[in-house]
Amino acid sequence: MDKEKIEDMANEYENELEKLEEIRAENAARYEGLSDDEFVRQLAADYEAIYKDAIDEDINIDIVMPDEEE
Amino acid sequence: MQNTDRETARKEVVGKIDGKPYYYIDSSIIIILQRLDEYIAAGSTEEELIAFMTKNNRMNEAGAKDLLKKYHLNQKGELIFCITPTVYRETMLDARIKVTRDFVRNNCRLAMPNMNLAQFANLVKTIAIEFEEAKSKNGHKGLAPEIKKETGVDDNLEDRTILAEAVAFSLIGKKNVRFLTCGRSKSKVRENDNEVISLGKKYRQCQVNYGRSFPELRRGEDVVSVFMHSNHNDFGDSTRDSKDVREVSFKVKQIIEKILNGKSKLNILTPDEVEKGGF
Repeated sequence: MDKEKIEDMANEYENELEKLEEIRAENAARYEGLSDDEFVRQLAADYEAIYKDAIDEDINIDIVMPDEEE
Repeated sequence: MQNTDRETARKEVVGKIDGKPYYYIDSSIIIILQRLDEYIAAGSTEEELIAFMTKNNRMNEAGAKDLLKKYHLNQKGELIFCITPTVYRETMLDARIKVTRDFVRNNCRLAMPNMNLAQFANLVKTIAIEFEEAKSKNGHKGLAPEIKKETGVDDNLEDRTILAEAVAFSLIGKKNVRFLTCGRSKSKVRENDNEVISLGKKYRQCQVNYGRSFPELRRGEDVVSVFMHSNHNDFGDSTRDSKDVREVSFKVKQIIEKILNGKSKLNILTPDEVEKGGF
């Protein structure tokens, strides 16, 4: 097994997680300090943009509608 | 939580879509899965993949093997990975994360509420507030330990929103908290668009302009709660909506309490979850 390769793969993943932390912190700032109504409106607007993007990109979008539990 | 309780709770919440099990995954798991996709295509062995996933103690070996198994099941079309909108935004709309669009397009489903987005946002907010209240009741020590343990989320607004979204999606589809609304996905608008269904004495006639059929509604059975508005961008300011919001909020609260009491379990895969061996 190529230990150097494994090391590179793991380090790359760690770097991605660090970026994810940055992104989450920035996204959180979008909602901080908003009133409940403002929060809902901002969230709804964000959903609108996200779903529109996903539809344009032809991402599978589906209702989360679980089958009846067995 | 005792193992038996955990198993019971798991059975309660793990559902299926089109007869296939589905799991919510968060962004960190998407990043791993995408790596698996690349590394397998490049000829990496299973041993190398396990070594990669366990290298920095993010997962133990059992968790890594479990995730690899789920990856293969997903590739065979036997398991569905679901992502919430926030996870989509983190991974797909931000170029800093190196996730290929093809991977998400081919392997994940973006969860879509069958209610209008403003109402869904309101539901998410309601749940997020429940978490905030739980935090206060918990002596400002952050989210209840059960939530952290079960989901791996941290105590910040964004993580609460992510968690609240997942809870909201989990609620949708519950027999007693089923929602109807106008369709948003163009692929889902079908022939019975604009069909009118009488919901009996308790509920007024509702215009169901979403393609999925609800036989229990057709029979007039009082087994669901309806929380809908035909106007996509309108929310919360009519008497009907306010009543429905209260009704939904009450049921949300019941379920949140169940979660806070450690009696339920969310089916979100997180590094912690995987580290513990997955589901």
